[in-house]
Order: sequence, then C-alpha cells, then structure tokens
Amino acid sequence: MDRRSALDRYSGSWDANREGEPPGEPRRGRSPALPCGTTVNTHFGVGTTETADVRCEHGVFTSVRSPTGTGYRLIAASAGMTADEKREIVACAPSNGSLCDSSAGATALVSFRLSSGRQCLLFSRHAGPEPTGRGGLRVETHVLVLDAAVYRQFGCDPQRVRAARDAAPVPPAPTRQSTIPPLVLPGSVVGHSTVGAECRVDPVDHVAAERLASILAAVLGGSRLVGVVPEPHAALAVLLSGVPAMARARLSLSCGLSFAPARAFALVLVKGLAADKRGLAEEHGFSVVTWETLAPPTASPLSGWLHLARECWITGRMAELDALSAELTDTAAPEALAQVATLWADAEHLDRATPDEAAAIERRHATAGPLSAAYARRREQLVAQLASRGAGTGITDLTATQ
Amino acid sequence: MATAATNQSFLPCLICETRNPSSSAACKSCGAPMALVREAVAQQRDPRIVSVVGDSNVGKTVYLGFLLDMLAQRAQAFEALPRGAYSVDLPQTVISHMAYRMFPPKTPMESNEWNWAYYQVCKRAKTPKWVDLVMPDMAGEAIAAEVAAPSTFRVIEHLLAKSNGLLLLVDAALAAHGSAQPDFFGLKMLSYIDGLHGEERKGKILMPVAIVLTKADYYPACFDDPVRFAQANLNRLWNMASSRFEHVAYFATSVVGSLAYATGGGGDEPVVPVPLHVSLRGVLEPFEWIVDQL
Repeated sequence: MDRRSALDRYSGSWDANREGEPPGEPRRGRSPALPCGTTVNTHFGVGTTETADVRCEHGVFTSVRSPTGTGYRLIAASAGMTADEKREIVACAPSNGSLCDSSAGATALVSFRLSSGRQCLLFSRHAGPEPTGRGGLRVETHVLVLDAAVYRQFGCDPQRVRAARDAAPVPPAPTRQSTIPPLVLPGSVVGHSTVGAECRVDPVDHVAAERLASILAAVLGGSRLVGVVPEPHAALAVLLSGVPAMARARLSLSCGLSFAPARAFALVLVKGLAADKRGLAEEHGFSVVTWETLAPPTASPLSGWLHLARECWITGRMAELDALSAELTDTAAPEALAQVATLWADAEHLDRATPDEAAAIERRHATAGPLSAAYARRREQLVAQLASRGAGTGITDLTATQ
Repeated sequence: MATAATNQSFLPCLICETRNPSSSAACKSCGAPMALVREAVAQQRDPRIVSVVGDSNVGKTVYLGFLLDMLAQRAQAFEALPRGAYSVDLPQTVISHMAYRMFPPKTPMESNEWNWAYYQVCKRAKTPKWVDLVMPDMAGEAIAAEVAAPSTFRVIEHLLAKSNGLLLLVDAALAAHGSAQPDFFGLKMLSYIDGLHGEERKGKILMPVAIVLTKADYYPACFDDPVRFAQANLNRLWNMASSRFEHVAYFATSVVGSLAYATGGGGDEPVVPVPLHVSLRGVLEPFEWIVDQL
C-alpha cells in the first residue's frame, strides 16, 4: 500500500497544503497577501538549534462516521486532555460552514486560554466534502493543548506553534481509536525563542501599516474587536509581531472563522461580516472595524510603540520587532512600551547622531528607571554603543547599581 | 412574567432568563433569539416549549420543517400562525431543498445559526385550544455533546429544563439494521432528561415524550406497531422510558417517498442521498399527541 492509500483509509491528512509531502517534512510557507500588493510570508524556518522536543496534548475535532456515531465531535484525543478541557473545546470548535473562506484550501486558527490555565490552539481546515452527502465541506480541526510554560517557549505565538506542528511527524487522523499518543513538537522549532528572526515577512505599505496599527492599538488597549480584513491570516502575522509576549499570553483570538458568540474572543479577524453578525458582535460588546474605513490610531500613551511597529512593518523589519515583542514577557503597559520604543529610536539614531544629540540620548536614559527587563537589557546595549563613541558613563553607573 | 419587564429596558431571555437589553437580537448568555420573548410579551401568554431532539443525521431538520409546513397549511384539525418571519425560515429551507431533490444542509453546532420557530397553534374542537409553541432546530452534535458532558451547551440545558414536551427522534432504519447507536443515544437522552428533573426522582417524570421512529419507510413494519418495534430494536430506550416517564408514546414517521443514491466520479466523494419525492406519513401524529398532553 503506498503512502497516499494509507492516508485514504483515514479521514485525511492534517493539512491540505501538506498533501503530497511526506509526513514530518517541514511545511513550505504560504504567502497570503494584504491589499495594496503587500505579500506577507508567514514561513517560520526550522532552525538547527539542538533543543529538547516538547510534548503537548492534542486531538481531532471533525465529522466522520465511526462505530460510536456520526457528526462533529472530538473523535480522538490524547489521554492528558481533561474532561473539562474537552467540554470547553467542543463548545467553541468550528463545525460545517464556520470558515470565512468557502474554498477547499481554507484554513482558520483559534487560540485561547482554558480554565485549567493551559493554552488551547485550534487549527482548522476544509477536508473534503461532508460525509453525510448533504453538501458543504467538512471542517477538520487539530486541537492542541499546551502547558503555559510550553506556550511561552513559543513566544505565546500561535503561528509559531502551527509552524512546529507542521514540522512535526503527525500521523493521519484516526477514526477507529479515541485515544491517541501526545504530540511531540520538534525542539528545532521550539528552541527558537526569538524565532521571529527567521520569520520572513515582506514589508507592508503605509496605508496598510496605519490600519494595522489601529487594530494593534485596540488589542493592546484591551478592547474586544472584530476586524473585517481581506486577508485575516496575513493581518494576524503582521499584527502579532507588534504584540508584546505578555499581551500575547493572555490574548484570545480567532482568525478566519465566522463570528459566533461561542467564539467571542478578544480579537476576531474575519474576511466578511453579514449585517446580522455585525449586530450580534456589537451586542456582545465588540467594536467592529472594517479594513477600508479604518482610521489611523489617535494619540495615546501607546503612540510611541505604535509608531515603532508601523516603521518596522513598512521597512520590513518585522523580525526585529517580533524579537523585541518576544522579550517583553514581564509587562505590556503603555508606559513600558513607550520607554522601549524611545530607546529603540535612540539606538537607531545614535550612529548618525551629533555629539550633542548623543549626550541628550545618554541623559535621557541615564535617569530613566527601567519599566521592563527588555528595556534594561537593551539599555546595556546602548551603553556599549555610547562607549564605543567615547561618550560618558552615566548609564553604566546606573545599570551597575541595579 | 415578561409583561412586567417591558416597562424597563431589559427583558429576561425566554430560555435562560438572563436579562438582556430589550432591543437585543439574541440572548448574550445562551444565544436564543430575543424575538421569542418579545412575541411572548405580545401574546401575554406563557409559551409552551416543545423540543425536538435526536442524534446527528436522524432527520430533525426535515421532520420539523415539514411539521411546521403542515401546521401552516392547516393539516387535519390544526391551524398555526408563525409569530415572526424568522419562524418561517426553517420550513422554507426544508421545502425549497426538497423541491430540488436535495436534503437541507447540516445544522451547524453554533447556536446562533439554529433556526427557531414560534407558532401560535390551535387545535380546532368544540372548545378550540390555543397554545404558543417554541421549537428550535438544534444541531444533533450539540445535543450529543451536551448529553455527554452537561453544560457544554447551556442553551440546550436551559431549553430542555424548560420544555413542556419532547419529541425524541430515533433512526428506525439504523436500529432495524442492527445498530445499537440509536438505542444508546435515546437512552442517554432520557437519562439526561431524568437528571434535569431531579425533583421528580421519587415518581415518574410528567413531561410527555413522543418517541418518533424516523426513516420508517426503510422498515415499513414499524408503522404497524411502533411500540413493538421499540421493544425489539430499542430495548434499552424502551426500558428507560417505561421506568421513568409517565407519558410516553411511540410513533413511526417517514418523509421521503423514494430515495436514490448518487456517487461522484472520485473515490473521495461521499455517496449523496437524493430524495426523489416526498411522501409524508406519520408527521403530525406525534405533535398532535404532545399538544393533547399539554
């Protein structure tokens, strides 16, 4: 029996985009495009760093005929997934017609924290026609449940987890066994705590950057937002690079799934929103924003950070922004973000700064109390830059006292 | 109950009683349409909830769609008025699809996608009996998930707790072919209902339950004696029903007259059942029995 035939015995492979690829091979990146011709490549390279593999619980939620019945249900799960976790997952897992995109290759992503404290990630895709023959496409969802510490290893980035999942040798979805072994995610992906450095994301244009900054402002401000965007996955890839790890850890989101009160997560990115769903979202306390009418963010304590994010997105330095965001594990307060953004801008300017400007930079940071560990670390780098220019030692002294 | 609340800007949900702004489209807690409450307030009469439950693919949508259409067409001694255009969505969807020889699409699990029907039903007699009936078309998967792990879908939990009557649909075709799945599902369902009526543990549960054997055209003998069919093929369910429920009746029903099966060219394509024509049999009787019990 060839490999394809073996897969056909089951409900399908995990990802339609992996059809034809041997299990376990790293998946090739997709290139969703934002409007204005901007292409965002969300490929996370598989590094070579030797890091121990990590285990997580997983399961499959889909509609198949099996000895115990038909219809959408958790057809298989690893033993470590608790009954309460399963209940929470089933209550919000997508069924037929839930994906925004009706094409055969459509995918969707959900990330939220379970009551148990573990992180739940749902990776959904269309997997052929509904087995009942009543029309429509079957939705297959790979459910991952990660311990909080493991999720942090991925920078609290669901896309990074998906990259690791895609690189893992995942067996086909079972239909005859309800208990499956835990999933082992490759350490080569997990180990990249600054995996953003390998995230190739092409620049976005000014207009798109302004609109994304508006959404980012809402996310960082704690608003519940439904964003109607042409390419939800592309928008999410860019957006998350500007969300500090601290905020990512508590951010619940859905991307590519139609809005439903059962999935009323803080950030919902959809491709389109019917009028009745818009009303439903607003009744549930969501702000609904549409891509074409998104206004630039208004002045706020977050302005400095939003400016930094915009600049990075426009100049194609999303990997650096992502790395900085991943460092911000202890705070996502606007003041702390503003402080880091100022330091970033000063460090950028230092190479071409006049002696007076360099002195001003030194003074600015010599007296500032660090509001985040990332600021303290990066200020040491600034000190080194200043020292190489032969500047004063005020910052060094301050750092030494901490 | 809802009448007093109209003076305020909030209304309690008909299903879970959560207070919602009166202009809301759906309950923020359980997702049930608030139009139900507004209609109930307008009628100044507490509506009776009749729930149609059953496993996935048992035929709930088709059964309920045709039942509502028959009521709207004044079948037998009934007269029914839909309260709100949303109540017509389900029969319209079902009838339209069947006219094109297609079964209606699967009902999604998300409760905001379910069709709800609110009908004012009258059974003509010497003293006409008017009842307001609320009947949601729930996804079988959601019902199964709720039964397996209570409180997964709170809307179902609240709905069944408030139901005045139950139409439990069971796939007679599967049961007749020896599958134990319909029997187990029915047993679980009644056991769940039994749990909801904890206060009635000492005696039998008074809520009337009509056990409807669907797709009976596959096994016409069950039209002759549905009780005997249930005893023989759904014995676990039959035992539970007779032990714990005071008012239980069995009915056989069939909607499709003849069925063809179509296959696509590829091996991955599922076999598609094609309803060639509609031949309704035993659709109204279970409902009539339930209304008589209310």
